[in-house]
Amino acid sequence: MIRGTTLGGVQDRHGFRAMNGTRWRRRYRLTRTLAMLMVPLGLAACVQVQPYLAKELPSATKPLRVLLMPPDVAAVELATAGVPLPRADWTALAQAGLVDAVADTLRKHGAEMIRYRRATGIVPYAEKHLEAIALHETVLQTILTYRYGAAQQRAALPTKQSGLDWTLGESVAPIRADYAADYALFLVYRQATSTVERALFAAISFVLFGFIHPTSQSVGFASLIDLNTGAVIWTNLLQGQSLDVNRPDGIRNRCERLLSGLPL
Amino acid sequence: MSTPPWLWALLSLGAAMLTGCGDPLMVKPDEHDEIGEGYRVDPQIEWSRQQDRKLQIWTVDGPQLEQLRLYAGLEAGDSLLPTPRRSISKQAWEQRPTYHKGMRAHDVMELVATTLAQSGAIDVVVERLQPAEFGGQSGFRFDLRFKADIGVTYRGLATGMVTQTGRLHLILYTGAKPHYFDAYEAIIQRILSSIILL
Repeated sequence: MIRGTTLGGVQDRHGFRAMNGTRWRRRYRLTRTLAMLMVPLGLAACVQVQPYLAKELPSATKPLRVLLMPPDVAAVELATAGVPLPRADWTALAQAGLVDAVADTLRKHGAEMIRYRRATGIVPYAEKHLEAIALHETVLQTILTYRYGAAQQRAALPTKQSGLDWTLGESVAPIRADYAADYALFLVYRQATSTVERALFAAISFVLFGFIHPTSQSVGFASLIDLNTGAVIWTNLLQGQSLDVNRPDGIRNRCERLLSGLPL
Repeated sequence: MSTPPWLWALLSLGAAMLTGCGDPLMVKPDEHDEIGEGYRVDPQIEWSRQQDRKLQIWTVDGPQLEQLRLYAGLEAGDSLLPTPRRSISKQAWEQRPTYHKGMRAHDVMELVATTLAQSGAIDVVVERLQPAEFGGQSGFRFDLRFKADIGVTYRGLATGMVTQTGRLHLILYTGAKPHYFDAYEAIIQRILSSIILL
């Protein structure tokens, strides 16, 4: 019903360049509409999570203090050729949704959320914490390769065939000392949404050739670090595609999925 | 805000990351492992192993965190880099640093530094070159440190010898300075003490 008329009508009568502040919402609706076209054609929305837990945490005798590190969030719009165009508005929306979801989740677990104080507007981390941050990213790449990678990649490290056995060691001591927190929570979130043109191209190529081009994708990674030992306690990878990728409730839903299974 | 390229890779292409070279194997302690036809060592602990022509790479936690490279019998024209899995340009092939017959300990140290720098390491420092035994024979050892572009500082140590026929045996251990280098350093020293030339 909306398919041809709405898309054609909006583009023909007003054009995207004539749109004002509500332009992105319209564009989102159009993108969603185009994406919805694909559902009956076999491309169902799907978001999956894959958590790993190193060990169950002992029961806490007092509320745990969890330090939320500056979430690393970016949202882009994919042009027809697949070129990513940064979208500050979607990034801000995702960032806010992520922080809200963390606050709610920790509250439910009876834990206290502490926000990391950004060093400057540009550089998020204090100099003395950079060693731990850089090591975390390296450990993260290792975990993504050998725990979340394809079977061949997982098999390439037989010394770590199962479980979650990595650490940041003593490098986390300066963070623990500065914030008196029990755990640090790192979050990375990326989402890519197709422009209307790309979504249209995807629909056409599916109809004509059977090729499926995902129109909206999200990927997120969360890790919980024990600040007393440096051990990586828990990780979760979220990836998939959904139609509500840039709506606050959609972002919140995915953030909650990303934090599902947080072992606090 | 930096954008880790690996996440974009995950987003757009699925997990397509490095797997290293060769088929992975487990190296077990007390099984003296032969490195080519050059020497053998006692691994002391379990390691994951990847094997190339004249090179074995051992790691426990992952090669980005710590790795032990064992080279045996390098000849003139051999590189310290693993054999590329994809074809590379002729220019890149010719520009890779290689071992030359007649190289002395100091030259090998420079070869290691140049190879690391060409692999993307930043602020490479090689120092404290000194004589050292390698399987009971006269060899050398030196220390090194460098930074990866991601910001992690690495420490390393190397020991090696040039045989009478001019071939190079070299063992190179590198690990992230926070935690990982120290975690295995004592084990590495025991491995170096266990070298038996073939």
